[in-house]
Amino acid sequence: METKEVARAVILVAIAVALSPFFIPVGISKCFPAQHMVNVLSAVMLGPAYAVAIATIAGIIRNILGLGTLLAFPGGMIGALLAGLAYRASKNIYLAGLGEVIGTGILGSLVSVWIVAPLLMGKAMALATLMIAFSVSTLGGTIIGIIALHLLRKGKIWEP
Amino acid sequence: MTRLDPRTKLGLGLMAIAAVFIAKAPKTLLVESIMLLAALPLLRMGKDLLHSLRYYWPMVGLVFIIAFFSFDFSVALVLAVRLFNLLTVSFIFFRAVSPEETGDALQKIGVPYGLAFMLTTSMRYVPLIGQKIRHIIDAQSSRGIDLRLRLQNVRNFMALLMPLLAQSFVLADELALAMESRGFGRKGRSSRKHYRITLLEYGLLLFALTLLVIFAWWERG
Amino acid sequence: MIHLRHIRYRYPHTGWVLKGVDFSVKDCDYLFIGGANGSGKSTLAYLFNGLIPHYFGGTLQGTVTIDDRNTLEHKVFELFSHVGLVLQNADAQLFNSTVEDEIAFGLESLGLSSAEIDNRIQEISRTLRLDDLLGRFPATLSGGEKRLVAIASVLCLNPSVLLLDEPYGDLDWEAVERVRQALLKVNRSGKTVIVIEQRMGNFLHDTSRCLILEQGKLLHEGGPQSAREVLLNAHLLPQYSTGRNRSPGKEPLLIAQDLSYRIKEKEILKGVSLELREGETLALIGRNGSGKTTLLKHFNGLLRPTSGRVTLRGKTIQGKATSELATQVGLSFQNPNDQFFKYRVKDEVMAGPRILRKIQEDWLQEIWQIFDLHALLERSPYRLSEGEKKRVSLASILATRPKLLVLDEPTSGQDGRFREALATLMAELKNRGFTIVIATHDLDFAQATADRWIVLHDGRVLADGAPEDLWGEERLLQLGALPPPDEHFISK
Ligand SMILES: Nc1ncnc2c1ncn2[C@@H]1O[C@H](COP(=O)(O)OP(=O)(O)OP(=O)(O)O)[C@@H](O)[C@H]1O
Ligand SMILES: Nc1ncnc2c1ncn2[C@@H]1O[C@H](COP(=O)(O)OP(=O)(O)OP(=O)(O)O)[C@@H](O)[C@H]1O
Ligand SMILES: [Mg+2]
Ligand SMILES: [Mg+2]
Repeated sequence: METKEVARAVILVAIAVALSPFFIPVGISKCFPAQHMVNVLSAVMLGPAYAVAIATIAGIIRNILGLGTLLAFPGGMIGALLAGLAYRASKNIYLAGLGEVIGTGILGSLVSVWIVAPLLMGKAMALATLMIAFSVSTLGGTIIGIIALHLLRKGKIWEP
Repeated sequence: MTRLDPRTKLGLGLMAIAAVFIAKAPKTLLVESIMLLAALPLLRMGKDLLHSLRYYWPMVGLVFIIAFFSFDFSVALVLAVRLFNLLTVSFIFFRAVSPEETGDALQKIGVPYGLAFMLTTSMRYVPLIGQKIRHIIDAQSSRGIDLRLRLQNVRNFMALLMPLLAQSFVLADELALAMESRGFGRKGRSSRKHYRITLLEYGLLLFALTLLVIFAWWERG
Repeated sequence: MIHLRHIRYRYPHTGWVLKGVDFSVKDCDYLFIGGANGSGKSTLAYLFNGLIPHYFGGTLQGTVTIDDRNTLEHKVFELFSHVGLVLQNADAQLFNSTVEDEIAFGLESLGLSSAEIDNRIQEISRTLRLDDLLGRFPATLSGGEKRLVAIASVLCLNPSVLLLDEPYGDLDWEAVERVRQALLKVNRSGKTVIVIEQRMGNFLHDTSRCLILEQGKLLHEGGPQSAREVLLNAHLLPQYSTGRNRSPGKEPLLIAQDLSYRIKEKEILKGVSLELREGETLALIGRNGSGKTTLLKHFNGLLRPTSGRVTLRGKTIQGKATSELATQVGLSFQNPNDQFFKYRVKDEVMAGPRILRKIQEDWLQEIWQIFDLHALLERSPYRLSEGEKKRVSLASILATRPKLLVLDEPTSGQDGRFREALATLMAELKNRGFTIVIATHDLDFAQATADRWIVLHDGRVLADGAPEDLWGEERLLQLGALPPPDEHFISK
């Protein structure tokens, strides 16, 4: 493992956890963008393996600190993996973002439903509701992540 | 409790979560809930749980509502209680372990050192990043950029995010320097802490596993 | 012995940063390395333990040998136990969860047995008197304690060279003294000590040899006496013009009445009252943790007092948001990087006025003039030198044209030239009728720029008056609020 990459991963985990109480009010619901933003950043900057590790460790710490629940795991890890793979294959940050949205919003919520209430699995309507609930937050975080990547590139802090 | 080997703790915790996961019958769920609610004050975690409830209820509520419309009230209640139990037992589990212990345990069961290092070290940097966030909010509001959590301020949030990310990457680079300068990359590290799983702990794990299997069999049948 | 022969170095994508440096360090030397910001001091430090070239890459010409090891042929993890490097940023330096783990980390890297590790921890905590700290979390340590732990964490590896990059950071005089004594002890025990610093004063006399860098070249090499002259001539030790015009100010601008502030049962401010008159320059002096920053944050409503009140031009600031007050009170914190979020200096400075919809072209023109920013307007703020960053951040505070300017630790980490320039700048702002408050540990600077000092101690105002009158005050010395006259970091 490269020292530089481990150090970046450490700080990205800390950002994901420290920002996790932040939300953007969206109508009556709230969007917690932190984990999704960090997923996009880590997938693009460090690749799929680190992205999954970062999401997992952030999940553990958020649970330890009481800033999240068990559902932080499926929500974060699948999105991180897909985003990382998508970026590795395409070198395109928008596709990485798409990977995060599909991974967390659709696959992540499917797995959550399966964990939470297997009974609901067969109900298409119910699933759609859950997915929308998940996606609001995913989409918000992903957009912020992509904007951040642009700014970091323009500020010459990160070069692709 | 604290004298147990972290691996034992991890194993017991995972089995407890599995048990709640297996439980399906309404009666079992009820017994479980009562046990969990009784355990909370004993472990002095009641207050913390109340604090964490705000992360629970959106999901629990959502599941309840969806199940209510898809099935009926009793199914919805069972599902909601089950989810609540699952989240509570995992809450207790995570509260009972420290990141260092988890890191040690992971390392002992063969997870690479780098990952265990990431776990313990990021915990150290969470408060620091929190402090940085506060400093940035202070500095920006002092020159007229409002960063309080309001909808009309959403556009200003880049003024929080950019300094945070820029500084974080500098911090990460400096951290990497510090790690290198203390031999992070060197092969053949030793570990100061030595854990050994005692015979008693093996017994405990085996006992718990037997219980779990019996419970699973009983719940299914 | 350390030998650097004909060293030229550049980072990837930069020009030459070191342009032909040649010198040797003898065993048991106490070496001081000084120089302007960006002159290449930290770069030099990275050369000593092989971070350059192994970690940074770039182009290195010439050879560095440490105890007959060529750093080109030995990786960082083979050298780190010979040259212990303590970095500038204490938060990056201390990355473990407890002090004990911190010290153990390097020893574990060496692969020592746990018994040996425990021995070494015992030994080092005895030498540096850290016993009480071993179980603490690094985040809860004071600045001076952090430095001591950082020193311990590399000293326990038993290196023959101890190298510290700006160890005195933002420490108060007492903590500086503690670290300074620890370093002397290490040097006397037979190790080579190398210190890079901007704060010098008396400390220069501890050293046996001084190197002064200027734009990647050696400007001077010699004993502390001759180095002092060179530093003075090069304005690396600041020389402030003493022509202060004391105008006692007429109207009160800001009044703090009996401010108390507590956080989690801990009283941080305990009944602080002060009156600030228009056009005066005030310095807040006090030890680490005496409450200076906390007090300043009350001036623009970042913190609200538990009891007491703040009035600005006779009107209470209660109920006004900080961002609204920005047009009246401009508060600048120590770290300019807390602000930058645009990628042009010009947008950065104009961000505040834009959001407040208060853009005045002629005032902006004046700002470019005062801060000498014309050449920087199109550059990215992230890529400026530290001194330039500071100037941009001050300019961005002043852009909303506040009457009262509050600066927290404005000189920390800055070289003598910037300190002189800032003193001139403050005199200029004063002439234009601005009221200024600074909080600082740099007593030299405070003496040169402020008409009046307020000494805070443990959340209370201990003294309030002209600097000359406060210097000798017995009570202040006894409480340790001010350093003893012969020990303070004054360059004369
Ligand atoms: N990692 C890096 N990559 C590229 N350029 C760098 C890097 N670090 C430093 N530099 C450049 O090298 C030059 C010397 O920097 P260095 O940090 O050695 O200065 P310094 O004397 O330590 O300054 P200060 O007093 O501000 O700490 C500067 O122009 C700086 O911009
Ligand atoms: N958010 C906080 N939570 C707990 N304690 C705090 C907080 N902010 C400040 N303190 C404590 O209040 C005291 C005063 O802190 P403050 O930062 O005002 O000191 P200072 O005089 O500015 O010190 P320095 O010279 O180191 O900058 C310190 O003991 C500090 O630990
Ligand atoms: Mg430096
Ligand atoms: Mg302060």
